[in-house]
Amino acid sequence: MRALVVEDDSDLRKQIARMLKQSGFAVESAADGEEGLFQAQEYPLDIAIIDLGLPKLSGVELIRKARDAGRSFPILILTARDHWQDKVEGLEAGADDYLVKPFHPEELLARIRALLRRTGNWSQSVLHCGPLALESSSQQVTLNGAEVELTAYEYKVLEYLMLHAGEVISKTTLSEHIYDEESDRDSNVIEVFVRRLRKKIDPDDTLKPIETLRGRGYRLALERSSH
Amino acid sequence: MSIRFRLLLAASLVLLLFVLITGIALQRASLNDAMAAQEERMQGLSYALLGAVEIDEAGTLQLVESEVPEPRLSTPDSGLYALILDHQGNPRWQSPSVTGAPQQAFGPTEVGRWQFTRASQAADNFVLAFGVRWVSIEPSPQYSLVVLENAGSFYQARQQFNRNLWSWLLAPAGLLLILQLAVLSWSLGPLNRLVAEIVAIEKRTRDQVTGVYPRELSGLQKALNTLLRQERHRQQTYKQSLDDLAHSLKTPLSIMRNTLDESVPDKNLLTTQIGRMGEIITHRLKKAAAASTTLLPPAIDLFPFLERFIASMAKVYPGISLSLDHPQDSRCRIRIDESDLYELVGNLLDNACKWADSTVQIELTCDATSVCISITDDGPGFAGEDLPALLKRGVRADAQPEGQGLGLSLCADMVKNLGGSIQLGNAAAGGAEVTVCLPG
Repeated sequence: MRALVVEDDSDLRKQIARMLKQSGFAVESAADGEEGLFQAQEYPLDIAIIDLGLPKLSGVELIRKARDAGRSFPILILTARDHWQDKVEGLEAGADDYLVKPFHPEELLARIRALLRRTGNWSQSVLHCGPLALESSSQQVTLNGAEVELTAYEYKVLEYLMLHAGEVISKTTLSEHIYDEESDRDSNVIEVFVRRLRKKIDPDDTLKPIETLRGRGYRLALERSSH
Repeated sequence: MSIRFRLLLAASLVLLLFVLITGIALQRASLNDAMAAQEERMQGLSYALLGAVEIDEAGTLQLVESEVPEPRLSTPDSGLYALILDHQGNPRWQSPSVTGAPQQAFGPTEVGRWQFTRASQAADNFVLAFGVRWVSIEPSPQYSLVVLENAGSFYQARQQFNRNLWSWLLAPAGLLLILQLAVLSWSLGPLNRLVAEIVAIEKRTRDQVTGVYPRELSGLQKALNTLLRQERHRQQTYKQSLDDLAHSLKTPLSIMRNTLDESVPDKNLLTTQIGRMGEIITHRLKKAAAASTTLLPPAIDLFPFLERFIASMAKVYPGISLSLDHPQDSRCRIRIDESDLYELVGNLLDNACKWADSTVQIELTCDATSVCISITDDGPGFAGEDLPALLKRGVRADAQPEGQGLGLSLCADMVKNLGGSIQLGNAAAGGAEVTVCLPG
């Protein structure tokens, strides 16, 4: 998951970025509205966390311009003023949720995860696809109730595929949304992760959870289920 | 006592006093004139009578009937009488108008002297006595000529005169009073207009005194407008600095909270305290902001406003279905500071969405004098809680408001400031129902 943090207070920005990285996100950050808008248009983002009181370009303007440019990732706004007018204007400009400062770090993560699930049309907090279950708050994956040990990158790939279950995801998209640094991106490595993932979640090669569509990418082929 | 009443009272009293003094003075002067004329007339009659008297050697008095100058003297009981008395007061001649004995006794009058007695009421007589001596005979006898005239017609004429006098004085006085009233209204007009403008400013339908006023008031007008401008500026600065304060305090609080990790001893205690600081800042600032109301806010059309709000809330609470029930009523507009309306509706809707199971219903009812927003959720409702206390919760800065309390007590404060009312209760279906009515 690739997240953008736009916050003018450098301490808070670094803190949020660190927290998101610890939770498995690839993080971009910006200190003002203009830089934030540039990054929002430039990077393949899964979510943006935007402070409303930004220098150069206000948070609301940033959101409006990003939406006008066709960017559809979920946006969470942060506000210190806690004015309903700000919140409503932010939401109308295209934000999806708000959080009032000071906030619990856990609350911020929970809101981000909820927004990501909502974007993938998931309504429960645990994603269920066939016998597979993924709980993002604890980063735990189970197969028929038994825990599956995954590396950080394997987890990221599976989480992305499950969130977008049923959709075709190209190797480039996967690498863009998983790696922090552009230099690390190598679609061959993705193939390695997918191969390892298949072995771990389908040791008998009977479930065939991840389809390969030649030249197009991958698709999680398991039915979404509600438990 | 109003200025108008004072002016009117003073002017009326002065006018009344003037009319009274004038009337009395005229009455007096005219009475004296009439008395003098009466005396003169009776003197004339006396001379005529004396001219008609004939006296012989024996001292017998005779009056030539044809020379009696006044026919009333010959008519019995005509009210005009004449007597001639000798020096002992015995009548020696009396006019035919005298019937019966003379009503009063007359003493001798000094020769050559007129003695006039005024009648003080209509029943009395004017009496003019004159002492004469006939020198043509010896010993020259001394007589008194007494003329009496009943004062009835005199006083009747006086009464008529007085009636005319007072009606001629009072009618213009009344006219003057009416004129004065008109002059007063005209002169006090600008003052009344100024008061009306100030009332409009109070009601927040006007933001400054704009009328054209006479020189005496234009200074006041300028001072008022300056005061209003300063007040508005002060309020804006106040709100702005409150916002800045919130922003500059809360970002460091966020950082402090996020820095706490498991290795910090008393992590929970610190987290709780940081949380409280954040809540106190929010609460105090909101209370302070709710206490300051803006002058002349524009009227807000409630229906589109609520629709916008609901669209936003639906994003934040995707599991809740929000519906707005409204009549197509053009009266659903209120003059209220927009940010106040945002806070009010935001707190109410947020509360309802937090407690709702799946639906929140908003109902808008408007009439000529008020606008009511009723918000009903399908949550647990208010279960045996002390509802008035709920509205007062969090009054103290260190009180820990939680759940419904904070939002509702803020709303209650705001509604009170706006001159409206708030009602808490449970809907028939079981959820909480909060109704806020504001003056339209």
